[in-house]
This record gives sequence, C-alpha cells and structure tokens, in this order.
Amino acid sequence: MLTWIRTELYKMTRRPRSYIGLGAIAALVLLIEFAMYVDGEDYLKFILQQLEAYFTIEGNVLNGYTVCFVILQTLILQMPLLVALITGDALSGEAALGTLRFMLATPVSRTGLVLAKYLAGSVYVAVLLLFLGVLALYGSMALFGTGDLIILKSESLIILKEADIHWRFLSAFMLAFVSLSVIAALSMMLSAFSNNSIGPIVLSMAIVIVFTIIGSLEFPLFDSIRPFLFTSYMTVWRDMFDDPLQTSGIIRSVLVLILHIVVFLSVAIFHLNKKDIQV
Amino acid sequence: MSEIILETKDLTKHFGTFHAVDGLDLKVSKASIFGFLGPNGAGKSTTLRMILSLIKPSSGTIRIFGQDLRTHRPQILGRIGAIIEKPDFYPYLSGIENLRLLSRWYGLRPDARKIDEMLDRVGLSGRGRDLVSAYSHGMKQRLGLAQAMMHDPELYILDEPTTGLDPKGIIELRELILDLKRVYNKTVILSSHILSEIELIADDMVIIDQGKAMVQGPVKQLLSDQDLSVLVECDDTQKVKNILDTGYPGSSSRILSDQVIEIGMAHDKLPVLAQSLVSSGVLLYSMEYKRRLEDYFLKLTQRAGHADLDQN
Amino acid sequence: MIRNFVCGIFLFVFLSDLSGQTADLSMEQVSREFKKLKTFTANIRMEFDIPYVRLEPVPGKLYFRQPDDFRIKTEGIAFLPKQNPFYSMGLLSDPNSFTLIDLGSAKIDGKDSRQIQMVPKSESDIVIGKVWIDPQRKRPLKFELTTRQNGTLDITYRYQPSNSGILPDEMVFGIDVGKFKMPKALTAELNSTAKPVKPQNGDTRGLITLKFSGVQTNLPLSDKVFK
Repeated sequence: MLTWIRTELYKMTRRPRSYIGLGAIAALVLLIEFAMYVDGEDYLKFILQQLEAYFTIEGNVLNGYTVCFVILQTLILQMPLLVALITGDALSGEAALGTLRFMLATPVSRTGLVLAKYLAGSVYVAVLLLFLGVLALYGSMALFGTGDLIILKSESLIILKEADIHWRFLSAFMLAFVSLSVIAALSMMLSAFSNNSIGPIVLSMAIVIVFTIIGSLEFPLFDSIRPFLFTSYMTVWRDMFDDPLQTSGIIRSVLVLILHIVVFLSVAIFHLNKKDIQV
Repeated sequence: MSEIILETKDLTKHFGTFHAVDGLDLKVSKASIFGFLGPNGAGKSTTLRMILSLIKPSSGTIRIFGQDLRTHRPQILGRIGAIIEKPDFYPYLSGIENLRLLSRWYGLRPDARKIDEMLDRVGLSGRGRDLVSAYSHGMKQRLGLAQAMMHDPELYILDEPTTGLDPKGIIELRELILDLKRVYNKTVILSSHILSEIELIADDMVIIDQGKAMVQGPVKQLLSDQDLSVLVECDDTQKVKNILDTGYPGSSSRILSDQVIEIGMAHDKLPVLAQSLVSSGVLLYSMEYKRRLEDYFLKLTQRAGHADLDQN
Repeated sequence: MIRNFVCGIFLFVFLSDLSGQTADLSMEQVSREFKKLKTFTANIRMEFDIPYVRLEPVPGKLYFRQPDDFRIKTEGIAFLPKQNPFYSMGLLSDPNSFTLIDLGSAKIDGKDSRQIQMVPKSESDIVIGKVWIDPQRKRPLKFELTTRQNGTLDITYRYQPSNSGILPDEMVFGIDVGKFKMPKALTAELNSTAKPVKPQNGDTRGLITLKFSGVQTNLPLSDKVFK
C-alpha cells in the first residue's frame, strides 16, 4: 500500500495541476498579509466599529494571530475547490487518460487503488494545510508579531489570550484537515462514477456550494435539514476558538465528518469493484 | 498436447440485452502465438478485458495458469503483460518515468539499466527522457510494449499492437513477438486487424463473431483445406485461363490485365499447375498468394461489409 | 396667604442656597484632594462582565498626570470605557461649570455619603450627573453621568478599610454596551452548528472593573508614556 501511495504522490508532484493549489494559497495569503500590513488598522476599525461605539479597545489587535484567523476565514471556504481539483480527478482522470485500464489490469486490487489514491489525496490536503499554516500563521506572526485574538461571532465575541492561541491554531488546522478530507472522499466517490476529468470536480464544488448555501440560509425550513449536511460540520475548525471549548460538539462534528469519509469511500470502492472498465 | 495456459469455458458477457460474448470456449497453449480475430463489435475486446479482469463476466469461467481468475486475480495478473486497444501513459512524465511508475503496480523497482534495455528492445533508445506528450502514436505503442515486458510476464495480451506503427515498426514487432515465443518461451494472445500478420506468425487462432467462436484451432490446419487465391504474372494470361478451364475442373480464374490473372484452386494442386504452365510454354514471372486468411475470414464472417480489413 | 407664599419662597431659596453651598464645599474638598496627586502610576487588573464578550482579566499598568493625561498599557487586549477613568474626578475640579444640588445623604455599598446632583450650566456632553461623596474621607464613592454620546455611565469607587487616600482600590464602570450583532457572512459562521457561547438575554449593561495595586504617586512621568 505504501508503494502505491508513494506512486500516487509521485504523480501528484509531477502534475502541474497540483501546484495550482499551492500557488493560489501562496498568492492569496501573501496578498492578504500585504493588505493587512497596509490597511489592516482601517480594516479592523471597520470590523470593530460597532464595539468602538462603546469601548476603547486597548492592546495589539492587529497581530499575527488575527491576520492568520482572517486568512483562514477567507481561504478555508475556497479550499475545497483546490482539494477537489486533485482528488476529483483521481480516478476519472486516469479513466480519461486510459491509464486506469492499465492499473486495474495489474495485481493491484480496486479497493487498494481507491484507498491508495484517497490516502495520497489526504497527504495532498495535509501539504496544502501545512503550506497554508506556515505562510498564514508563521508568516503573519513574523510580520505582525503576536497578541490576543478577538474572535467575532454573530452575537458575541471572545478574546483569547496570546498564550492560549497557538495550540488552538494547530488543532484548527487538524480539524480543517478532517473537513477537507471529506471533500477528498466526496470527490473521489464522484470520480469513481465518471470517465471524464472535469465532471467530478465541478459536481463536488456544486454540492459544497449548494449545501453551504442551504446551511447558511436562516429559514426555519432548513433548520431540520442542516444537521444532515456535511458542510455544517466543516466549520468545526472554528470551534477551536470557542471559550470554553465545546469539546463534545467538536468530537461529534469530527465523528460525523469521519462517518462521511467512510461512507463516501465505501461507495467509491463498492462502485469501482462492480464497474466494468470499458474505456 | 501442449500445456493449456489459458482456458475459458462458456464465457458470457451481456450488457443489458446485448450479448457481447456468448458462451465462448477458448484454449491457449503455452509458448504459442494465439491469433484472436473477429470483425469490429465481435466481442474481442470484451473477451480480452474479461481475461484481464477489467470486465466481469456475466457467467462462465476463466482459468489462467491453471488458476481461477476470480479467486487468484492478483497472482494471475502479476504474470500477464498487456496492451489493450491503445497504450496510454501520463503525458507529463517521460517514457522512463512512465515505465518506472507503472512497474511499481507490479511491485517492481526497475533500475535504469533494465529500463534502458526495454527501451532498446522496442526501438526507443535515446527517447526515454522525452515527455510522453511529445511521443507519436507509434512511439507510444512501442513504449506500451516495453511496459508490458517490464515485469517479464509469461502471458502477453496484445490488442492491436501494430496500430500506428510504420512498416519497419511492424516488421520489428513481428520479430519481437516471434522472439517472445521462440527465445523466451512466452505465450502471446494477439488480436490484430492485419490478418497477414496473424497468418505469418500465429500458431493457433480463433475467429469470433457476435460473441461466438466461429472456428478455433491451429492456423495451418484451418487454412490448408481452403482454396488459394493466387496472382499469376505471365506473358499470356488467356493461355493460362484456357489451361485452367480444360485441365483443372473446379478451379476458377479471372484475367486482371494482359499479364496478370487471378486463379482459385486447391492448395495441393498448385505445384502441378506451375509445372504444366511452364511445360506449355507460358513464361511465368511470378506466382503470389493472395491472403488466405483474409479470404477465410471474410467467408466465415459473411460480413465483409463490416470486416474493416487493413489492406496493407 | 401672600405672606406665607413669600416666606415659603424665601425659605426655599435660602435652603437651596444652603444645600448648594454644602455641595460646593464637598466637591471642592474632593477636588483639592485629587489635585494633590500630580502624577500616579499603578498596576491594574481589569475584569470584564459584558453580556456578549468573553474576556479573561487583563493585567496592565496605569499612568496618570494632571490634569487629564492618561494611559493604560495592557498585556493583551482590553475593553475600556471610552472615557478616561479619571474624567469624573476632573469634573469635580471645576464645580463652577455645574449647578450643584445637595440631595442629602444616601448609602453606597453600606457607607454613608452625600448625594449631589450636577446640572451643567452650559451645553456640554454631560446632560446630568450625580455624585456620592464620603463626607468623612472627602472622596467620591460613586458617579452617575448621563452623557450625550455614550449614554449613562456609572462609576463606583471602592476602598479598602486601610486606604485613607483619594485613589480607590477598585473602580467599577457600569456602561451601556448596546447589542452586538454581526452578519454571519462577516464572521464566517456559515453552516456552523455551534451555539453562541454567551447569549445576550437582552441585557445591555456591562461592568468593567479596574483593580489597583502598587500605586505610586507624584513620580515624574515623561510625555513619552502618554503617546
């Protein structure tokens, strides 16, 4: 299995498409950091204007942690696309290329192939997040220093102490990894049903967008649907910035996400094992 | 009787109501070249894909190397090298990288020497470092052969391996396939539209149509009972025609030009005819077989319209 | 009847003037005490009880220089009242700006105090004010100010029994903090199933407590401190 994963990773490293995600992240993070460096004070003033009607806010609000949080909020919604771009293509891209035919005529089991590709996809997700983490967290810390972090919620705000933040970011990145791994599994599943490269990528994104919109529209009708949308649990990374931590809620979200991964992969494996390779 | 390396029994595949393969029984002997023929849509590709476990049979069994494919899939596939329809590679990798990568699926980690050797055998020396995206179809076909040979399989399944090759490439491939059998004792299942190639190198063959085997057996035996179609180049075609009409009942002839006549007659009567033409004073410049297999194939399938033969 | 009315008016004016004079005196005494502090610094610990904010206590250092230079350096983010905490003390130094009415004695935190109404004589941010002064120790116990810009603010001064100075050990600011509502798109709470940590329950009053320790008075403080 390790050899297969390494083989998949090798292909990823050689595909120009794999670097789109890294390039997009680098560009966006550096752009946001630059913008925050230039206009950060005004930006925060705008965000905090409601509070500044009542308070004088003392302390270094514009710090590396704040900037990193802003970056995460901005980018994490877009990252499913970057993940689907790679994993949505994993099986269907090989089918379109004709190489799937070759692979499935080798001793490799179809189940093993799906798992190897999924695990390689997960490594890619981890690399994306690690890259994002290094640039967004450590880059911002280097540029803006550290300080307390104001977490704005729709009806409240939490100020986290500087000493209490770093581990939260690391945990948030890990939770983001689980969330994005669901996208990897989803797009892999769709990829197993398709013989063209683009379809599963587009469909994955369409599902994420539709679910996100349904989840964010505050109609009572959607309240009963929301718990059944996996996207509702993908913002679990943000829960790491709650105080006190709602541990049971986080664990529940992670379990729901893992359940989705298992279901999506099982469907992919089941379908691929049944599928006649005619292309 | 030589050892049977591949055997299918009542192999059937239907897609909905369409029977692509219908109760096919095949036997392929070890260290032989097995021609696998049939018109387009006859079920060749589906059969080969079933043998490679790409398509699941609706019913019937496939035994390869004495083992059931369903229960010993990894062991069996590890001993087969294949090109199905067209060899496909990762265009963003070089030929060498493709070979190295694809070998890993067989659990191999080939060194540079082994890869160079394979590239040399298929005539791609010096082109291994080029990106596959820059390869011509013929080069990809050669690379496909190299890939099929990388893990030194016992059984080769080559589906249309000559597609895209130039005449020199076709001759080289023919030699390579013959070498696989003669020198390395390998078995080759060869599906090709170039019937002359099959006729030249196959030991056994099957012709399938509409998913069923029309005939199966040694090529020589299957073709020996057939009338030959021979093109005779001579100085007096009318004289030849008269000799045939009077002295060889059952034969047929057709004057194609002043110097070329096509005749049809039993294989064993051909030496006698040649002798009598010479003794009658006809100046014989050449006698050339038209393809026997081609005629045989067309006759069998009765579907010349869709036989789609390559006239090379 | 007319005589009674004239006597009544005379008595009212006399008593009002008398209570005004008492209030003036109290205010002047407090102001005089406060002005004795040219500068002071103190370690502070800020505690917050704001309906929609979760913020752990923040330590910091406070710097003050007469008449109104003020700076708090915090170790982290802190939410402070918009006014200088000693703004209220500053008001006492200019009693002529207000009409002062002694409203009599009252209890603040169980202590006796004089309750003085402050009505601005001219247009100012303060609409009306009230101060409770400890008559014995000549120091304020509480302010209640209604301002045009920031609503009603109350400041309670708490002193340890051992503290005989004018600087309190603790100041509690009660301020109007309004309601807090941010669009979910801005807070990226789209799709979140997490419940609000601290529901607002309609309460719009917040308390900010400043606890002082290590007070040092009348040390020279450079301008840099206040920049």
